[in-house]
Parts: sequence; C-alpha cells; structure tokens
Amino acid sequence: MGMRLLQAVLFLPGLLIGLTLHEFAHAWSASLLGDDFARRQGRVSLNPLRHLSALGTLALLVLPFGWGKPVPVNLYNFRRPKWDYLLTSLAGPAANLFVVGLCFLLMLATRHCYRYGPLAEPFLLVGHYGLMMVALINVLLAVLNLLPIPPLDGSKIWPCLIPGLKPSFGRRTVWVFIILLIVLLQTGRLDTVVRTVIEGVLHWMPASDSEALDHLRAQGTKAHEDGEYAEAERSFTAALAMNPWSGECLSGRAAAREKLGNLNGALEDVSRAIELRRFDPEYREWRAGLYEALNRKDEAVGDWELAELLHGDPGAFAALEAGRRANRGVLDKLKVALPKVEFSGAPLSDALQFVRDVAELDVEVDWEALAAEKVYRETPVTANLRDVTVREALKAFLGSAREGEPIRYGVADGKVIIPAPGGGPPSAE
Amino acid sequence: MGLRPRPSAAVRGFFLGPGEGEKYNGPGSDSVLGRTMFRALRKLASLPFLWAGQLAGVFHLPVSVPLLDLAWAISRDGNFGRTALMGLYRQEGPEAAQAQAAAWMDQHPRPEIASWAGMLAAGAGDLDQARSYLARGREIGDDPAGMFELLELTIAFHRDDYQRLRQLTASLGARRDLAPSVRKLVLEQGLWQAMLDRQFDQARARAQYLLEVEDNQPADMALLALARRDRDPALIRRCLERTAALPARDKLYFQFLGSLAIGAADDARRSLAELRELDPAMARRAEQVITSYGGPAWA
Repeated sequence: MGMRLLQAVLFLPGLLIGLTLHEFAHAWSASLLGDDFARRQGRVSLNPLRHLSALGTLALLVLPFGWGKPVPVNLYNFRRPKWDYLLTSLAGPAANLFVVGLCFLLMLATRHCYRYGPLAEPFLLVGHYGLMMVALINVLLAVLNLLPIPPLDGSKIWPCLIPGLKPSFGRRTVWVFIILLIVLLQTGRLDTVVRTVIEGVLHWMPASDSEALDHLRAQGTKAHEDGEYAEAERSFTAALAMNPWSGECLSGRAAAREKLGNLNGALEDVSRAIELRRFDPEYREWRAGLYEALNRKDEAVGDWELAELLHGDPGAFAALEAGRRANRGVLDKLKVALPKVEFSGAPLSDALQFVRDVAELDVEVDWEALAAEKVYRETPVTANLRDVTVREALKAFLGSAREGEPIRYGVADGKVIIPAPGGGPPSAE
Repeated sequence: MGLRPRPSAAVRGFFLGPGEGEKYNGPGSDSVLGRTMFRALRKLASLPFLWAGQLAGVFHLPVSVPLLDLAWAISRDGNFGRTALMGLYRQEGPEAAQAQAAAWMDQHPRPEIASWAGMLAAGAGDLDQARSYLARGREIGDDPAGMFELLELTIAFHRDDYQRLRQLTASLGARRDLAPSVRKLVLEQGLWQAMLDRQFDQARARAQYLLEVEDNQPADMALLALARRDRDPALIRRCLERTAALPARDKLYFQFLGSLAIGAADDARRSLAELRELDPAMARRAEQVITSYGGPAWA
C-alpha cells in the first residue's frame, strides 16, 4: 500500500494533466464537429474536477492505473457520424501526445541543470524529472488508449474504419472488456507493451546532464581503479566541464592528477573541493600532504592544524571562521581615510576615543598593562597628520605615547586590542 | 458562557448545505471547490451501496431497493435518486415509484428526480402532473443530461398531440446539444414525417443516417417501405432480415404508416386491421398520427 501510495503521488501530476487534457480534447473536438452534448455537461473545460472520476482516481491506489470520467458523445449530433466519431476518439490520445511533445521541448531547457549555478541546479533537476514523469504517463495514456479494447479509444476507432461495422459496436459488452483490461494489466500481460513504449520514449527523450555526469564519473572511477589515470583525468575533466561544482569529480581528478605527478593540478582541484566542503578534515589533510610534497611547509602546517581542529570539534572551526570574518571587518575600518588629524598634547584616552568615534571601532585598552609600561590615560600625545588612514593615525598616537619602542596593538575577536596580546608585532593583523 | 463564533457562509455551506430560502445549487458549500469536494466525498461513501443495490437488482433481490435508497440518502445525488426510483419501479411497480418520487420531490428536489417523476406521471396518464414536474424541474436547476426534452416529447406522445410533437421535433431538430436518446427520437420523428410528407429522398437519407450510427428498426421499416415502392427485392430482403426481431405490433404499426406513405392503401388497411386485433390502443394511435397529417389516403 505504501508503494502504491508513493506511486500514486508520483503519477498524480502526469495523470492530472493527461486525463484532463485527454477528456477535454474529446469534448472540444466533438463540439467543433457539431456535438455540443459534452459542452452542455460542462466538459469543454480545462478544470480537472470536471473530468476526474472519484473511482478512477482512487483506483490508482489499488491498480497500476486510473481513469477519468468518459466524455458523453452523441453520434446523432455529428454530420458524418463515423468520420467525426473517429476524429473525436483520436483527439484524446493526440492531446496526450501533444503533452509529450511539450514536455520534450521543456526538457531541452531543463536538461543543462548545472549551467545556471548550484542554486538553480536542484530546481532544474526536479523540473526535468517531473517533466519526464509527465511525458511517460502521457505517452502511456496515449498508447494504452489506442488498444482495441472497450472502453478504450482504440475500440471506437476500428469500427469507424472497417466497412459494415457501426460506431456503437460493442457498447453493451463494455463491462466484460473492462474486467478483461484490468486482468491484463494486473497480471502483467501488457507489460511488454508498456516496457517497449517506455524504452522507446526514454531513447528519444532529452537526457539530463546529471545522467551524463553520472556516466562520466562512473567511467572515471573505473579507469582510476584500473590504473588508467590519464583516462580517469579525462573523464573527470569532461564531467567538470558540465558541473564545475561537483566535489566528487574534483577529488576524483585530483587523485588522478596526483597519481600522474601533477601535484599543482591536484592542489588546485583539492583547494576547489575544500571551498565546497569547508568542514571536511580529510580534504585539509590531503591538501596538507600536497603542500608538503611541494615544499610549502607553512601552508601545510596551517592545513594540518585546521584538520586537527575539525577532527576534534567542527564547531570550533566554525567559530574561528566567524572570528576571521569579524577581524576582516576591523581591518577594513582601519583603512578608512582621514583628511586631517591634529592632536597637540591631548591625553591618550581622548586620542583613542577619537579612533573609536571616526572609524566606529571597538577599541579595548588594558590600562593596567599599559601602566606597567608607564603609559597612562593622561599621557600626552601629539600628531599632526594629513590624508592618513585610521591605522596610521593609531600608530602615530601609540608611538607618541612612549618614546623608543612604540606600543603594539593587535586585532582579535573583531576588536582592536591595546597592547597586543603576547607581545606580538605592532599589528597582528 | 461565551459567544459561539458564527461560521462563515462558506464553512456553513460546506458542512450544512444551502440555508433556508436559498436556491438549491447542489449539496455542499457555496464555493465550487468545496461543493465539488463535499459532493465527491458523499458520492464515494455511497458508491458501495449503489453497486450492491444494482447487483442485487440484477438478481431481482428485494434488498436492492433499501440499498439504492441508502446510496441516495448518503449522496443526495440526483442521478443516484433516479437509479433508486428505477429500482423501486422494477421491484414494486410504477405506483410505488411514483409515490416515492413525489415524496422526494417535496423533501429533496432534484432536476433528475423531477424528470423521472414526470416520466412516471406521464406513463400513468397524469399528464398535468407530468407537466407540473417538468416546470418544477426547470425551476430547480440545470438539466445537463437532457432529460427535460425527453419528458416534453413523452408528454406530447402520451397526449397524442401530434401537432405539438411536430413543433417540438422541428424546434429540437435544430439543436446540437441533445442527449442521444432525445436526438434519436427527434431524428426518427423527422424520418417518419418525411415519409408521410412523401419526401422520400429525404426520408431515405435520414434512415441511412440513423443506420450508420447503430441498428434502428424504425429506420429499417421506413427503408422497407421505400424498397417496396422502388421494387428493390434485395433491399426488401435485407430489411426483412434486420426487422425480424421487431415485435409484431410495432412491425404492423410501421407497416401501416409506410404503406400509407407510399400510397399502398390496401396494404395499409390490412396492416391496420391486424394491428386493431393485436393492440387496439396502438391502432388508435396510428390512426391519430395519420389524422394529424390530414387523414388516411383512402379516406
């Protein structure tokens, strides 16, 4: 029942569109050919509620198919009953084939799911597979309806074509055929028809790039396993041309390049993969190894440390990242330009307040630590500067407050800290 | 005790149906979606009883009637009501069905029930009552199934008002939204009018049109008369084969009309005499038809 429900949910949009257009096409064509009986019953409408049969919709949960309310056609209203009935009967399957054609056209637009960036990718993928489902349901509706079994449209077509037979042929025995049809579908006797149709349509259907990507990725993985690294690199490069954001393809190509000795190429791919998966310690370790192999020890140490941190507590890394972002904001504010700075013997605390005010900076001063260096709030500072940055002004104030070695400041946790913690360089920016 | 919130018209309509004094617009709410959902749910719930009742009806089991009544009570769908009345008609006869239809028209009037009640009244000869049901039905709501036209034609038939029937046939003949049964009746009337008006080419075309759609014994009888007139033995044989299953009284009725149309007065007289013996009422009707055309050719 669960599977049936899932199947029903997946089939529902296609069936809703297919059955509505199918029945609408019957009613509309009948009306065009002179029979307004269906129009009188409100069936020349694209409102699905007018065409859906409660039983036919519920049948979806039990049977592998559903159906709509049949459109009442009055042959006595036609000018040429046989010919017009034939056209009216064909209109339903033709409408389903029209939907299939429309889906194919739209699928041409949605097939390049990676072309418009990672944000559009899931929508295009879902849209593509949704259209595929709608097309498959509609092609099945068209083909199954053409079977010459009452009450399907096919049974109405052949009495119109064979001389001597009447369009009303077989109406009284319709229930026998309905039971026969259900038995055929339930026992899988029509599976061959269904499978042939689906395979044929899938062959002609515009394939999504995701399918081609999967194929290339599998090809690359297989080549790597077989030791054909150049072939693997080619496959992954082709896949990355479709989707430059595929982490799996980036790491696959990096592995192939590493085996081929192209360490710089591998490093470039791993770095791009890290941008996609920033909290994955294994990528950091991989890159650290590559840095070491390339004799870039400092960068290797940085990645080893981050990998260590991520292995221990991924949250700490996130906090570090957040701190870095905040510090970048402070550094940007230190670059703010000041046209004129004139301080002549003003207390240091006033000068630092000036920095706080003009650059909207959070400046934290450890006055006790400064007192140990014999620098106080009241220590006079002098600076006459023009067209300088806040950083230059701050350095001038701190340089003026103590003769000899200037007081150092640092940037941490989104603040300017005076003096710099740990006695580091003048700025730990 | 606090004030109870008043449900909005749409909510009230969804659960309770139209209020007192409101025109019937189908069970359920005032909104199309709500009404359709509510109707669909009620119909779904009543379907098992409808099917069981129909199945029991096939085997003439008395339980068919209460089951069909239950389906109607749950769904309050006019078509289900009509099915229940038909079941009652088969099981207990026209009087019971007529009484039930009258009761339901008072309690839960529906266009479908009005048309069926009218047909029953016409069948019982109460043509004024049938006309009143027709008028009431048209007031209650739409008739997408086209049953009111059928009732109108039936009333004209039972009234033996052939002038009115000719007028109706002419006015309905121009319409293209009729139900199959009504349109077929109109076309058959047109065929025999053409025969009696001696427009034989038109009559032949109409008969062939009717036969193109499905087997039609009145059309075959018209073609038989035309074949006799044209002395076409092959067609006569074919028509006789196709009308072999037609009840004798119907065959005599059409033979009388056909013979009269082609001017075979002796054959017409003989057929009428045989029809009088077999079914005097039908013979009277045949004579009335001819009278409406200006009397029999031999008169």
